[in-house]
Amino acid sequence: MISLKNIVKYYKTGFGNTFVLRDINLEIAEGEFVTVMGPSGSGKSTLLHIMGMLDAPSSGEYFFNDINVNKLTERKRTELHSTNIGFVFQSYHLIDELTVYENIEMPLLYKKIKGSERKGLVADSLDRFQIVGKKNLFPNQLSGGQQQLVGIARAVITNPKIIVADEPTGNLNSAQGEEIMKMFKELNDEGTTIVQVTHSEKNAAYGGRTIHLLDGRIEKKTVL
Amino acid sequence: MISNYLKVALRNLLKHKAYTFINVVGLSIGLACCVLILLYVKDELSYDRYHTKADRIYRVILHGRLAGNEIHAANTCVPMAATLTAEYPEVEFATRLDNLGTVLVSHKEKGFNEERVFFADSSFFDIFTLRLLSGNPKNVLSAPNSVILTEGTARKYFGEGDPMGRTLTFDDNTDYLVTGVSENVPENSHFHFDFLASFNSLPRSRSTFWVNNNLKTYIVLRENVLPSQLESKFPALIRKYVAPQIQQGLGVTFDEFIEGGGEYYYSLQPLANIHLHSKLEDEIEPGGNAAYITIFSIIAFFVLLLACINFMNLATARSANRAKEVGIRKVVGSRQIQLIKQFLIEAALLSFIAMVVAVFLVELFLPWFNDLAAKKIDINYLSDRYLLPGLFLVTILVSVLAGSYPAFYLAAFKPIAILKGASTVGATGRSPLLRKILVVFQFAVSIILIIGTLVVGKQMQYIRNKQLGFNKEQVVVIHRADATGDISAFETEIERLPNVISAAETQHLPGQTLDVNVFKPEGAPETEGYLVNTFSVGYDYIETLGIELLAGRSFSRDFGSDSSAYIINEAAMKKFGWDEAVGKTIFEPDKAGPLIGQVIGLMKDFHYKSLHAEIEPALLRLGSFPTYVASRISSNNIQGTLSDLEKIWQEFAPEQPFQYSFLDQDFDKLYRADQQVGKLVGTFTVFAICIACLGLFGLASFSAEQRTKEIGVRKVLGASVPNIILLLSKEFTKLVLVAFIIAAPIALYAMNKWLQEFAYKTDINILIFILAGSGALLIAYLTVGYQSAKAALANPIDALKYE
Repeated sequence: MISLKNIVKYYKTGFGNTFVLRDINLEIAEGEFVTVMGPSGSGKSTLLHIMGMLDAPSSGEYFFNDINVNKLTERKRTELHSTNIGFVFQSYHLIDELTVYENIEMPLLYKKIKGSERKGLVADSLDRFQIVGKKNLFPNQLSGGQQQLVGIARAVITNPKIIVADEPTGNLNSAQGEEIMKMFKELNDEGTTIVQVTHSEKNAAYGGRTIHLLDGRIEKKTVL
Repeated sequence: MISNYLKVALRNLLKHKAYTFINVVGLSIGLACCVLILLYVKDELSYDRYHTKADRIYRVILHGRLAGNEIHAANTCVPMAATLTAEYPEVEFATRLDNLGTVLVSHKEKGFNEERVFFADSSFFDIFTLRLLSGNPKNVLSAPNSVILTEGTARKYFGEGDPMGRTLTFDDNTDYLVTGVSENVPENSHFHFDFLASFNSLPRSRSTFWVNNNLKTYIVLRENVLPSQLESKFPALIRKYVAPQIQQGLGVTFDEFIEGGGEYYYSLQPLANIHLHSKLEDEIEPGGNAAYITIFSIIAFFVLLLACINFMNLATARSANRAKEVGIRKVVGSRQIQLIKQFLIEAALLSFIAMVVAVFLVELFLPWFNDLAAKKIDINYLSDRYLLPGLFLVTILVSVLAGSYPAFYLAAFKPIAILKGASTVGATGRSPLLRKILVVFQFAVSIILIIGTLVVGKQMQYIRNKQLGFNKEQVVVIHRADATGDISAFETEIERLPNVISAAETQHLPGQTLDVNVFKPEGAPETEGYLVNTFSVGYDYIETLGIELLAGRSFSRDFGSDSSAYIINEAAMKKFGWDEAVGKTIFEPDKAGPLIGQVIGLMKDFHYKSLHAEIEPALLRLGSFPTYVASRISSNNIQGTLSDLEKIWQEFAPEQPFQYSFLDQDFDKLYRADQQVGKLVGTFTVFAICIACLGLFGLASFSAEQRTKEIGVRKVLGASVPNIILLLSKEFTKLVLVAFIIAAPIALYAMNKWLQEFAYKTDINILIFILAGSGALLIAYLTVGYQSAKAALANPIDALKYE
C-alpha cells in the first residue's frame, strides 16, 4: 500500500544541508499496524508527515497504491490524502471554536457529503466512541483523553484506509493512553492500516512491526 | 459549509473582542464617512436631472470678445426664446427666465422683501417638471400679471386660506393675480423661486433688442435632435438679428467687428451640466464645483482604504491564532481555495456588521453633516432604488479589498509547520515588509490630509485678515432705501445720528455684481475701448467705506460738474496706459453719442471682489438710482444705533419692512464655499486619523504581546523601562517618518494647486510641514505609548514563565 523508495529529506541551513531522513526504503502493506520508534530528532515525525502527504521528500519516490504521490498536483494530492488518510496528533489539534460534533463533521464537509448522510455518519461516530453526551461541548471543556477520542473520531469518519498517528498518547495518562491504543487495535482489526509514532514500548506492543529510526536512517526492523 | 464558516467566524469574533471592536469601529467610521460623502456626491450629481425632459433641455448661453475682454455669460436677450420657437423646427419649447432681485411683495398690510421673484413664459411647464397643486400648467402663466406661488410662499401670505384668485402687489404699483400654486422647487435645482410670474407682465418683454443680454433662455430640443444641429444655425441667426444692432451700437459693421478681434456667438449648455460645470457670469445661484466632487470622492475612497488596511494588518498580525486552524483544516482535507473562501466570508461578515453600525452612524450624523455641507440630504432606504444595492456593493467591495490579502496569506500556511508544534508561524515580533508599507500608507494619507487642513485653515485666516483696501467693519447697509421715497433726505437724517460717522447712498457695494461698461480713455486709439467695472455711488462713498485716495478728490456737492466725473482705481489707470489720472478725460460710448467725463480722483486698488480674483479696472461715478444707504457707525452701542436707524426708517416708510445687513458679513459670504470645503476636509481628516490610530493601536498591542519574551529577557539583562518603551516605539517612529517623506511633496503639490484658485494667497511654509509631521508623530506615540508602557512595566518573570 505504501512504498517509500530512497526517501531523503534535508533542510537548507546556513552551512549547507541538515539531513533529517537519509535513504529510507519502506513497504507497508494494507492492514498492517506499524510502529515507528526512535529518539528525539531521529526523523520519526518527518517520516510520518511524508507518508501522510503533508510534506514532500527532497528526493526519492513515494508510491501510494502504486500512484507516484510526488507527481500529483496539489488538488489531486489533497484528494488522495483526504480520502485515504486520517491523522491523529499528540496535541489532538481540534478546532477550539467548533463543538465536538462540528469538529467530527468537518472532514465530511470538505468531502461535500450531503446533509442527511452527514448527520447519520456523525451520529454513528459519536455512538461508537461513546461521546454522544459531549457533542455540544467545546474542546476546552473536555479532558485530554476525551479530546483525543474526538481526534480519532474525526480521523476515521471518512473511513480512511490508513491512520497516521503522531504520538497519540503522548499527552495522556496511562489509563487514557490504554483506552486510545485499544481503539487503534480495534480499528486495525477491522482492516484499517495504522502507522504510529511512539516512545512507549508498551504502545509499540499493540502493533505488528516496529521500525527503529536513528539519525534519519532505519536502524532495525523488528517483527513481533 | 458556509454555515460552518460563519459559525467559526462568529465565535472567533466573539472570542477576540478587542480585535473585533477595533475592526468594527474602524470599518464603521470608514464606511460612514464613505456613505456620507457618496450621498453628498450623489446629491450634487442629481441636480436638475429630475425633469422628465432633462436630457433634451438646454440653456442658450453667450460668448463674446468685446474690447479685449472675454465674456461667457448665462444671459441672453429678450427676443431669443420666441425667435427660436418660431423659426427653428429643432426647438420644441423655449422660455425666458429672469429674477428681478429684491421685490417688495405685499398683501393687504402684510409685506415682505422677496429675493426670489422669477418671471417666465407659459411654456415653462412644458420644459421643466414641477407639480402644480392648483392651476392648469397650460395657462397659469399666459395672462399678464399672473403669478404662481410655491406651497411655502402661499402659506406665508395666506396661511391656510386658498390663495387662488387673490391678489399680490409688487413694489407698490403692480397687482398680480395668483393663478396657481406649485410644490416647492426641489433642493437639487439650479434655480429656486418663491414666486413665478408671467414674463409678459414686464414692459421689456416686448423688447426687440438683441444685444441687451439680461435674462436666461431655456429650450427643449425635439427628440433625436443633436444640440450641434441647432448650434450650427446660430451664426446665421446672429447675422440676421444681432449684426445690425452691433453695427448700430458700435458704429462698425459686424465684419469689421470680427476682424478687429471681436467675437459674438451662442452655444447650448446642457441642463444637467449647469450646477457643477457652469462657470458663467450671471449664474442664478452659485453652483457646485466638479473638482470638489472629485476631491471628496478620492477622500472617501482613501478613508475607506485606511479602514481596510487596518483589517488587513490586524488579520495578518494575529495570524498565529488562526494558523492552527488552517493546519488542521488542511489535514482533514481542505484545499487552499476553500480556506481562501472561508476567510473572505469572515471578512464579509465583519464588513456587514460594520455596515450596519455605519448606517446607524450615518443616521446619527446626517443632520450635522447637512449643516456642515449646507445640504438638505435625507435618506430613504426604500424609495431610493440605488441606495440599498449601493450599500451592498460597497460592503462587498470592502470585504474583497480588506479580506483578500489576509485570506491568501493565511490560506497559504503549510500544515506541516503547525504539526511540528510551532505556534509562531508568520507572526514574529517584527512586522513583515508589506505590513510596514500599509502602515506607511495610512500615515502618509493622514499627513496629507493634515497638511491640507492646515493650508486651507491658513488661507481662510489670510482672507479674514487681508487688508482689502477699504474698511468693511462696522458698515451697516440698509437695503431698498429707495422705498423711502426720498433717499437723499433719508440719508441726511441718518448722518445726523451721533453714532453714525458717515453715510452714503449707493447702487453698488463691494462683493456685489457690478455693471460692466465700455470706456474709451483719452489718448487711446479710436477703436480701443475697455471694459471697466462701474460703481454707481453717492456722495461720501469713499469716506464711508474708507477707500484710500492717492490723488485728486472725492465727489463733492460743491462741484456741479461732478455728475459726469469719475474716480478710477490704479488698475484702471494702468489699463488705460496713463501715468497719472486726475484731469484726464474718459469717453463712454452711448447711442446718443459719447458721454465725456473728467477723472477727478485716483483710488488705491481695493478688493471689491473675492480674493479669488485679481483686482480689475474699476471706476466710481455718481449714480441716479441708489438703492442702498451704507453707514459707517461707531463701535459704541451698535444695538442702539440700529434701533435709531429703524426709527428713522419708520418715519420715512412705515409701511415697508426695514432690512439691513453688515458689509463684512455680506463680504464673508463670498467665501462660504471655501469655508465649507475647509470644514469638510478637516472633519474627514479627523476621521482618517482616528482610523489610522485604531489600526496602529491594534498593531502595537499585538507587537508588544508577541515580544513579551524578548522584553522579559531584556529586562532580566538590565534594560530600563524607558529603554523598552523606546525599543517598541522606534519601529513606528521610523514608519511615520517615512510616511512624512512620502506625504510632504504630494501635499505640497496638491495644496499649491488648490491655492491657485485664489489670486491672493498665503504661502505654504515649512512650519505647516513641521506641524503636520510632529503632529502625526505625537499621535502615533500616544497611540503606541500605552501598549509599550504596559509591556515595559510588566514583570519579566511572568513573561518568561509564559513562554
